[in-house]
Formats: sequence, structure tokens, C-alpha cells
Amino acid sequence: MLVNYDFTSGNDPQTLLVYGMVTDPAAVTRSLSPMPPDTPFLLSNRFAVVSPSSPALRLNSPGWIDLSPIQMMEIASTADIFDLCCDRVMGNASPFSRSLRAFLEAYFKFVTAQTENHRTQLEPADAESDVFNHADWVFSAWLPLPHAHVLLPDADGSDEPRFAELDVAFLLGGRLLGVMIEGINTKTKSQHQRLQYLEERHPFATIVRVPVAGLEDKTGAFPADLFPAPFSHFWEGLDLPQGPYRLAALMDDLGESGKQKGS
Amino acid sequence: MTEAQSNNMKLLAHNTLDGFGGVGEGMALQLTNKGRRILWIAHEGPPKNFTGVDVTDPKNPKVVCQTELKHENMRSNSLEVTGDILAVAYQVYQLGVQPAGIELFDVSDPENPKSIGFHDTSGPHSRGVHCLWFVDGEYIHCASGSSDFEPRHPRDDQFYQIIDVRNPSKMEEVGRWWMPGTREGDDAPPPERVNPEPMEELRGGDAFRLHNANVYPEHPDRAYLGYIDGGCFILDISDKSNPTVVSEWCPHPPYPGFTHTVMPLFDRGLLVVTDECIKDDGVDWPKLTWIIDARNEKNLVPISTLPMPPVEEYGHKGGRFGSHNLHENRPGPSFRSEEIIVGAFFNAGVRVYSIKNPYQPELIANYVPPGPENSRVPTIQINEVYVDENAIVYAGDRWAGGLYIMEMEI
Repeated sequence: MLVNYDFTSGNDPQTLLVYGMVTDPAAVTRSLSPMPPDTPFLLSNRFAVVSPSSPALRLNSPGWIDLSPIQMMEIASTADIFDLCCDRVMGNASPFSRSLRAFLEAYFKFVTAQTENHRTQLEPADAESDVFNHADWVFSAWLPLPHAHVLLPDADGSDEPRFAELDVAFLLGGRLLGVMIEGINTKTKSQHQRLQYLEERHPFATIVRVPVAGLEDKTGAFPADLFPAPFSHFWEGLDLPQGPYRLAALMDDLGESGKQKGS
Repeated sequence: MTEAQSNNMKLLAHNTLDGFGGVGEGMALQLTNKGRRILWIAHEGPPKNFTGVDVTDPKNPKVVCQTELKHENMRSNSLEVTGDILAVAYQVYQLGVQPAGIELFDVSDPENPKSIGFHDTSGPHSRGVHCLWFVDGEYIHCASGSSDFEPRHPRDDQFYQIIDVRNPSKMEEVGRWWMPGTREGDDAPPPERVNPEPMEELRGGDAFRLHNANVYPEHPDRAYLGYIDGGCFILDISDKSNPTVVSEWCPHPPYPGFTHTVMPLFDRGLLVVTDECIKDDGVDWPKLTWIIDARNEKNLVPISTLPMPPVEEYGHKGGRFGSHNLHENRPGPSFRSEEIIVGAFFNAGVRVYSIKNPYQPELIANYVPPGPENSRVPTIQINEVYVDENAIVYAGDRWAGGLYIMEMEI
């Protein structure tokens, strides 16, 4: 039974995004269950379900990265954890998409640079504190979802799900930001229609069009000026930085591992 | 006459080109300064040189120009348009015959093409130009013989030439390359023939000569060559006077030869390589379209082929069955995609593939017109295909059917 996540619904509109190197997003869609009530969002390594009240999806959002406690123990530094996040995101981008990979690499450099450039703002107020430092804020950066397929509402009773395809999607909390890298592919009629439907009918979607020419520039500068202002200040509204591995998740994993040992 | 077969494609119009419906390997679209859209079409053979069709309304194409060759011992199989300049390839059927080379026309008035220059490549061992590429308004990249080139084998006569056409009245060759071993006097040994055939017949396979040379403005320092039985070559042409080999890939043997087109997909690090079918009735099956991983351009790795319909169904329907030309993502009023490949597959018609997953290409649309009247074979023989920026597909039959205009419903 196909769950029809419908972002046009007046009652609890939900948006499903299937992302990564998925060859058949419809098959992923068919395998999903409805989002349980009172659940703010669902996030896995293949899909996300969000609603207007969902929090932003960030590198430190639970669900997408699948880190085991043993993997975490082997990581020594903030930079190493960030590199792991970058590797996992890049692993969801096709090796046959140079411009997308260039975009993501530029994005990761950009968010790192942002934490450096705003260092004084991001350091703890108590200068003596060593609880965190400015670099820890990098995990608050928006989570890029490469090759995002946004499920469109069932318009004609067809059993075959339809998707609008985005090169990258970001969920900024109350805002779906789709990135289209322009200048490589002429869109087919159906691709154009589906993207147009998303732009016109989705209650909180915005498309940012990034010219491919800029990404081929060897300087690899991220085109931040094309994005809305809050995009660059991803830490705003947050009290503290958090890493991608939360204590609760750690405890859950340890408990699970203990069970397995005893069985 | 058979029924048309279609899947996600709709025929908008068919035009037999005033009874001269044998279409060669050249189609190019001109946008005139008066807002007209003129499709220029090369013919497979004489008596016609080229035809201009007004496709401003693709449902109602109109022939507005049709020109004659100088004689019947020649053909103009290939053409390209950039701006208002039409470049036409002249190839002759016997060595030494003229005119052989390239003629440029000003087609700003499409009803009255005006010759503005001719580049002679005739010679005692030359058949002139078989195929040309002209997308930047400055250089033509072509497969041609030359007055000073004596091939070791008579069918190895056409090699890569770069012609500076910035002054149309004084075109000049600025660079050349041939496969080592194919010219008399080469240090390299001659290549071993893949499928030896009698030497008397100049046309056809068993050849180590150039077919297509593709050079794109995004990477003007690279030429992508389909060198028939020699496979494909990537050349560094940053110094046009001294092209050098970056890499090569050749599946022949065991595959039956005739590499035709090498189309790079730069963003994806892929090549699409076709082997042209040149014999009727499945004799040279399989003629495949290969997807090559070229992320490392010095290490070309084949990863898949475009799926073909069953040989037991198509191999003996009549005419040729296999790969041939592609829509080549050229600049201009053109559909450009690195995920959707449109090809001409002779009796299997026009086929449209998604290579979003390059390891598993998928047929997403096709159109097989019925066998045309007055053709020398009972089936359609789609020989050439061009797709415009609105995803309208223009395809031509090799012998008689003329122009088919289709819309992709994808």
C-alpha cells in the first residue's frame, strides 16, 4: 500500500524526499509506513519525511549517518567527525556527477569557513570554558540531501509515484530549499512540469538555480549569494552546538549491543 | 508497408523531401534573424546536395531549398550549421575526382544559399571529406583525404584534419593526425585488419580511417575520434598543429568494427561510443553503443551497452540493424543532455535511452516508422537524428523516407 504523503493537504501536509543513489525511488516509497502521529520528522540514509513543523535537518540530525559506537570511538577529533560526515554525504552523490560533487565539496568548505569567519561570535561566552569551541558549530550546518526526489501528490489516481527531481535538497525548518545545477541538461517536458508543480504547489519550497559554469571554476567558491541569508548563518537560533552522535543514540546502541552479547 | 511502432514518442509530421528522401549523416538547425527555424539536411547520395526545411511549425514542415550536386560521382553526406554559415562535405566515389573537400554557404537567406568558400582536399589517393564537425564558427574538424597523403591501404584514406575557416574565402588546414601505421612511410607497422575484405571496393568497412571528430567549446583542447576499426581516440589538440594521443579504446576484435561516434559527457565523465552497422540482414551483428567510464581519460573502461531489441526479430526484417548516429549534444538550438541519449538505429528506428544509471541504461522511448515506399529495403533505415532545444526529434531515412519529426513524451 502506497503512503501518499501529500504536501498540498490542508491537514498535516507531509513531504517525502527519497535521496542518494537510489535507482528506483518508487520502490523506496512503496516500502514506507505512514509517519507516526506526533513525530516531527523521519530521517534515514535513503529518505526524509518532513512537515511544516519539522525542525531543520542538519549534519547533526539523527538518522542519516548510521555511526556505531565503535566507529565513534575510533574518531579522534572534530575535524575527523566532520570528514566522516562529508564522506557519507559524498557517498550519496553519483560518482558520475562532477558538478554535483563540486557543489558539495564547495559547500563543505564554505560551512567550515563560516565557523572560522564567525569565530568570535561562535566561541562560548565564558572564555575559560572548554566545553566546545567554534569549530563544533559545523555540525549545525544544513544537511545536504543529494539527488533528492520529492514525491508529488497523487494527481490522477495512478499507482506509479511521480517525483520532482532536485540535485540537492536542504530542509531549513519551515523551508525546503531545492538546488538545481543549471546548464548541463535540457529538461524533458515531464521533468519541467514536475519541477514547476513543486515550485507552485509546495507550501514551503524554494528552488535555487546554480549555474554549472561557476562550479567549474577551480577556486571552488560556494555561490552563497544565490541562497537566502539565513542559509549562511546556520547556527542562528541554536543555544549550543551538537555533534552527529547524540548521547541517547549512544546509550541505545550500547544497550542493543549488550543484548546481542547476552543472547 | 508495416505499421509504425511507438513508445513515448508521437509523430508530428513526415516529409519525403520532394521525392529525394535519402538522408545522409548531417542535420543541423538554423535560427534565422527573422525567427524562422530551418533544418538543413544532407543527402545520402546524388543527385541532391542539401535540402533546407522550414520547421518553424514542426507539425507543418516545408521544403524551402534543395540544391544539386555538380555531378553524380560525388555525394555530400555531412553538413553543419553555425550561425548563418552552412558547411558541406564533398566526398567522391573515385580517387582523384573533383570537387572533393568543404564548401561554405551563407544561408542568411535560406531560399538562396550563397557559396562563400571552398577548401579542396582532392588528390590521387583522396575521396575528399566524409564527415565534418563545425560548431564554433572558427574551425572545422573533419575526416578527409588529402593531395599529399598516400594510405597504405586504400580504405584508410580519411584522417583527422583541422581546418581554420575564420576567413571563408581562404580556409586552411592547421592540424592533422592519422592512426600510426596507416600512411605510406610510417615507422609504425600497418594495423592488422579486423575483417579483411577485397581492396577494390573503396566504400565500406575493413578500414582504419576517421569517421567522426567531435570537439566541444567546453573543452576545446580535446578531440574525440571514432576511427572505424581503430576504435576511439581522445586527442589533446591544445596545440592544433600537433595533436597528440591522450588515450584510446578499441573493442575490435572480437567485436566487428566500425567505430563511428565518440560523444563525451563531460559532467559525468562518460563517453558514448557507437559502432555503425554497415551490412544488411544482421550480417555484422552486434553493432553496439557503448557507455565508457572516462572519469580518468587515460583509462577508458566500458561499463555497459545500450539495450537493443532482439536480433531474431530485427536482424532479418530487412536492411541494417544496429547502432549508427547519435544526437551529439552540439551547442546551438539543441537538446543537451548527459542523461538522455537519442540515437538512430536503422530498422529499429529512433531510440531514446536514460543513462541516469550508466551501469544499467534503460530504453525510455522509441519510434519505428513503417518501411517507406520506394526504398531499396522493406524496413525503415533511420540514418541520422537531431533533437532541438524543445525536445523535438528530427530523424531521416537512409534511402527514401525523408524526414520524420517526433515529440518525446517523457
